[in-house]
Amino acid sequence: MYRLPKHRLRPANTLDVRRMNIGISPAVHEYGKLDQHNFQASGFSGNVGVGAGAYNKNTYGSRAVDPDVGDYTGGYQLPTAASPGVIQLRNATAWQIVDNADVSVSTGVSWLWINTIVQYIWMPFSAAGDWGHLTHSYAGALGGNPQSAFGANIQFAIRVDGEIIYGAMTGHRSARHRERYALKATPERNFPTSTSPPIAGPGPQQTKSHHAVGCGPEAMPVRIFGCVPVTPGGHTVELIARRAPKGFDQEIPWYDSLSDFVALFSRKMLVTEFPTWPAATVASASLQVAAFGDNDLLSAATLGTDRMAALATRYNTVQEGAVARGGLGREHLPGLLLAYGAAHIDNIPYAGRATDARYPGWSATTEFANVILGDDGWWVLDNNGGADMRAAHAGGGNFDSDVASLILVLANVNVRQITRAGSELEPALFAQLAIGANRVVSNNAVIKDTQVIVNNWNVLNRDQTDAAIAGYVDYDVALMAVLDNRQLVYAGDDWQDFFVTISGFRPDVADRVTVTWRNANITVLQMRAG
Amino acid sequence: MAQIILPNTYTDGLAFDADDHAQNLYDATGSGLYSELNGNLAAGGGGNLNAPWNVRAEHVQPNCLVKFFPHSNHRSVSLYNDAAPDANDMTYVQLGDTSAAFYIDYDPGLVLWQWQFFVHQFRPEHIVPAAQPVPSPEQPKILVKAFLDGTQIMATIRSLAKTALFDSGDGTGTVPGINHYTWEDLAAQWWSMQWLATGVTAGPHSISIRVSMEEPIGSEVWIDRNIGPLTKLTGAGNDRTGYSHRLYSRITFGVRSAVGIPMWAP
Repeated sequence: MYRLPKHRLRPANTLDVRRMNIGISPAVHEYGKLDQHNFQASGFSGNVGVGAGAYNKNTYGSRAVDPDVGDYTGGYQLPTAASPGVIQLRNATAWQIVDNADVSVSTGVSWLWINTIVQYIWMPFSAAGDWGHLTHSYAGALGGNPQSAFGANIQFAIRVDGEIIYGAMTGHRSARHRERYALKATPERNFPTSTSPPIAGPGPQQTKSHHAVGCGPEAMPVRIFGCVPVTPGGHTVELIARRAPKGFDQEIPWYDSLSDFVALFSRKMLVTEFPTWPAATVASASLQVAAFGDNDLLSAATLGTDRMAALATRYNTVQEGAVARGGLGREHLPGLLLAYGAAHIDNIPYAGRATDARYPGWSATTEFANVILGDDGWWVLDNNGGADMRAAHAGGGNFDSDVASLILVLANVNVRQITRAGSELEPALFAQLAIGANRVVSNNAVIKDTQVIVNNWNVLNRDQTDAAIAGYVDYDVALMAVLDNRQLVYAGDDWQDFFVTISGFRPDVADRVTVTWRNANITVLQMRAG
Repeated sequence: MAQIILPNTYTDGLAFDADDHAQNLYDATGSGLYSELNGNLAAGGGGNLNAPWNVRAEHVQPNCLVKFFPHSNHRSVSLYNDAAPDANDMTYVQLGDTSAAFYIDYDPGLVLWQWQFFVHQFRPEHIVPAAQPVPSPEQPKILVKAFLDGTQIMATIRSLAKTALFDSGDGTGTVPGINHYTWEDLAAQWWSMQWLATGVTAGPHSISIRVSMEEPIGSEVWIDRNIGPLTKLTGAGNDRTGYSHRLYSRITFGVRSAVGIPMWAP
């Protein structure tokens, strides 16, 4: 804060120690309590560094798991749950921790910002390419028994210290929740009758629709965010999952087959702590300048060297510990992020934009150039109007790969249809999406553990002629990448931009899958390492 | 001026000069001790910091770089098309508790908005008699989109898939359709979306998630009485083969939340 001498010595004043001391002591007392009032705002933030963890601390866990679907050279196959790291979710309807998407942090008074993602696939598929769930037969549905078509019914949630975060559970609060058919009998009880006995009409309308309390599609990534204030101490942040209980009016069927299970594949969790009232990281600095006592000698040494010069020297070399807790506001601080960028595509017709690029395979997904439409490989999402899903550094230049930092990429894509010419009724048509990074030297690379899979879940749709049609699946596919510059060996090869790619496949290499998308957007945040 | 350089020196044997001493302490035009420490201490070359000098966690004014404005709810809510405007009505209907708003008294620069919800829909494919208008595959639309400070974000528009089939029969009112079912549980999804707003200035800001729904075309359906539980509700072993019904679109939300995160980006 501002400090001024409490007495200005004038030639006519009697020189006494009290007047001398109160001229000097405010400057002595201020050292160790400096705040934004003491520092120039202009130029300050650009000339100071940010200590590790001063703004944020990042803790993350991840695991990349190959769903083993093959590639276009060796042939595709249905996803399998045999790869290392696959989690087979129990059918017990109880919450289960998703390993590698759980972290422990030790915090002060802080906010935790949590971003997590997991890929689930309802297993297994039959070898014939049909969907082999005992409880879920599309063939049965199309044959007139649609009630046999159930969703995967899987729920995820973020749990902090054993408690699910409010607003971060993928379902209904009640596992028994059921909504109504949006259907109302027009005659209801006043059904006109001239017959005897009178005919009772239906109503009030209470017909319940399906029991939808968890995610239904067979293959889908699920991303969840949460933000929660925490108190000092250790905290456990977990992604948890369960198959939600089934529920019907008069019965609660169980998951009745060992083959009817959901497997979890690639997953990651990033927990970013933003300190609100952190523990001190540097020792508090103080300044010892003795006050003049009665009969002390006033000399060049005692006043000049020991006091005034000592004060000047200390204020010319202000230590980190001399600043008061919370002493610097935003006017004096470098920005929260090192860099950021965003991109989006929109204004695409309702029918969407499509590609039939074939998925190049898990092992090929490290580095390769972009593909063109109709070729084999990834297709960078675009709107066919000159805009694509590449997010560059908003400030120009590149995202620095040499600075200790963590890059968080979040993207969303509206996948509309996954089809194959000649056959719209296959659930085993897949779209693969991933986040890629374009580097100055190494060109484009797709980040392996960001790959997600969605399938053509909506094969029950029919048109006005009662024929099955290629239903719109209308996913909002969420993607997420976490890159830690401290662990990557890309020194000197900066990130030009980050992008979203797409491709498709089915368990038959010969037939191309057409994937259609519409609106999408991507955000890149380069956060400080911590 | 940043470095403190005392304008006057003290010399043994000379008379103490009170004015010189006062100038060493405070000099409005010079570099006295108080002149500098009252707002003139600087970073960088010629400045006052003991290099290397880093901002430490305890230096940072609480919540001055990042703030969280979360909002959430876990009560389920359903919207029907008769309570929601159609796709041409840009006002849409705001979905409660999937919005976030805040007032901020400085220019934060960046705000990351995130919102997420569990959603499933009853969006019917209506098979109508040949004499009636044929709905397009797009109808009836159900659209969800985000509005930032009241302006729609086109890139966040999402349509929802059809999840129900209703067949009106032959249109005579005597031969009901036999296909009427839903696969709504198969369609249930969790959407977690985001948008980075840049150049954000001081003032009130909000994200709101809104819904528009079209009425199913030819929404009068004549359906078979054997529509699962409906048969039970009639309570009568009647001799009619079907009943006239009115068909709606519905969108249902479960757990949901939104947050605005202003991030200091000078």
